[in-house]
Amino acid sequence: MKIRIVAIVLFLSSILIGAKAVNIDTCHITVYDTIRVVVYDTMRVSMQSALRRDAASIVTILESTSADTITRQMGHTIRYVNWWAKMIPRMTTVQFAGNMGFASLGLGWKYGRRDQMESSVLVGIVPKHDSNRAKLTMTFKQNVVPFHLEPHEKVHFVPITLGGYVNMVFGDEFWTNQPDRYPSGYYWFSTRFRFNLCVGQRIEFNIYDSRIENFHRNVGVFYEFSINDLYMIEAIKNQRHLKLKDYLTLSLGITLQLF
Amino acid sequence: MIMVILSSSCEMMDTHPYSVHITGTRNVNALNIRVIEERCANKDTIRFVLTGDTQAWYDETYDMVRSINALGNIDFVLNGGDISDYGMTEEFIWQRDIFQHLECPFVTLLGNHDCIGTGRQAYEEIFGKPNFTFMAGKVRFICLNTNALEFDYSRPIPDLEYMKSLSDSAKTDSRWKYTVVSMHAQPGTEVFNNNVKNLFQYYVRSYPSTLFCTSAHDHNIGANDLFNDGIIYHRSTSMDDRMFTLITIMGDTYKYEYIKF
Repeated sequence: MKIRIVAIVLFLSSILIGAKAVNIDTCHITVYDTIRVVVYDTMRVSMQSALRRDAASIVTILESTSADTITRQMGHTIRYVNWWAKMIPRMTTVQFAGNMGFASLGLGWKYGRRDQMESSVLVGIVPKHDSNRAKLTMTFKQNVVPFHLEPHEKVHFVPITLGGYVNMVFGDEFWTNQPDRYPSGYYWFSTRFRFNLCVGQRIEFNIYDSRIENFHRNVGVFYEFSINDLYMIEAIKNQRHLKLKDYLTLSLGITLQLF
Repeated sequence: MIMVILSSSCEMMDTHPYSVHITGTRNVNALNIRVIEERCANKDTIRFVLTGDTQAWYDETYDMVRSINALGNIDFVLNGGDISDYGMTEEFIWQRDIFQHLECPFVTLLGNHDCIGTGRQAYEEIFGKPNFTFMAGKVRFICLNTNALEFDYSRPIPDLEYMKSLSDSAKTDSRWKYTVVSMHAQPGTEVFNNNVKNLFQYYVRSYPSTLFCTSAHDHNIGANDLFNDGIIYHRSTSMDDRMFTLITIMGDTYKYEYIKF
């Protein structure tokens, strides 16, 4: 049964990657297994190289270990898998508050030369509070980590994270552009999208222990202060009355990193 | 659990600008109306401040509150609506907190900006229903939601049934001698349902000795006889003009002054 499912998956994937529809039973299972092993190896290598991921490692490993077995088709498949492998999210984030919900859960990607860029997508829940119902939000977040310190070999301290995020709230009462009933240009802003800037700090601990082979490599805790576009306008207009604590929002969060 | 405690205790941890997470006093209109009715019960002269469109002008609004306190001897302040600019929950709370510095009671109407997003829900939680009425001595103030444009015909706005029921109850209310009708957007503005403006004015005239109407919305001060029937619409200006209207009702006459601060 399992083999049959694998064969179907392989057949479909072979169509996807434009493979020749011959020797499905033998050749592709070999390819699949090779890729599986290679992807596993890549992860392992990545973990060993402490956060640094070599994009070309799959091909490198494969070429060094079993170069004579690579067909053109396999090479193509490996490059294809390799390309998608870069898209695997490496971070899981839980963030509390920050004008994106009471709690938000997200996936994140780290990239750039020194992993200084971080992008994440979060889904949050705004409790009902005193409104008609609870609301779902979605956040697209971009962070920059200009540098980090290593006070201990297992501790990464990020003295400053800079970033921005766009929050989108779902519900009939919110609009992207003003509804048609209003005269043109009546309300210039969107109630659905809020544009936020944030600044914060983070500390990460390497919790990987080869003896117990725990799931996550890194755990981090962070806090950040953020301000959204509309609060910023109000803050600029009311410098006497509004205080930092009025228009700044504090959020706390945890990041988990698999590799 | 720790996060729950932190989030509830730390006011800076906002969940969303449109969260309708209300802290502090609620039912502000009802609480203030009780004070107004008590204070003015046996008065023939009613002195009140007409203002409105305080949205996102906290500095100026705070100055106005201090200026009104300095005047003294004011029975109440009538805020004609648009206390928020974007309908965000904190805007309502910030404005309420500024107005609570007043030494006299205040009532707040619903403006069109207050309906944006979850604004109306925040307004209702903090201030109360958008249509309400109260007595100041012998004068009944009728405060109406006239922001038809915001409701897309899903609700009758202005609520003519409500206006009619008040008109009917006037016959049995012996204390009710004079009337002032207050709203955010006056007839003729794009927010008002102008299809019913004549019917609206019919009910305005049907009340016992309607002295005048008040409105806000246009961000400029004015006093216009909109229907050429002798009922003046007194319009307050927005906070950036740093001006409010002081109205004194003496029996069946009244006078108004524009006061700069």
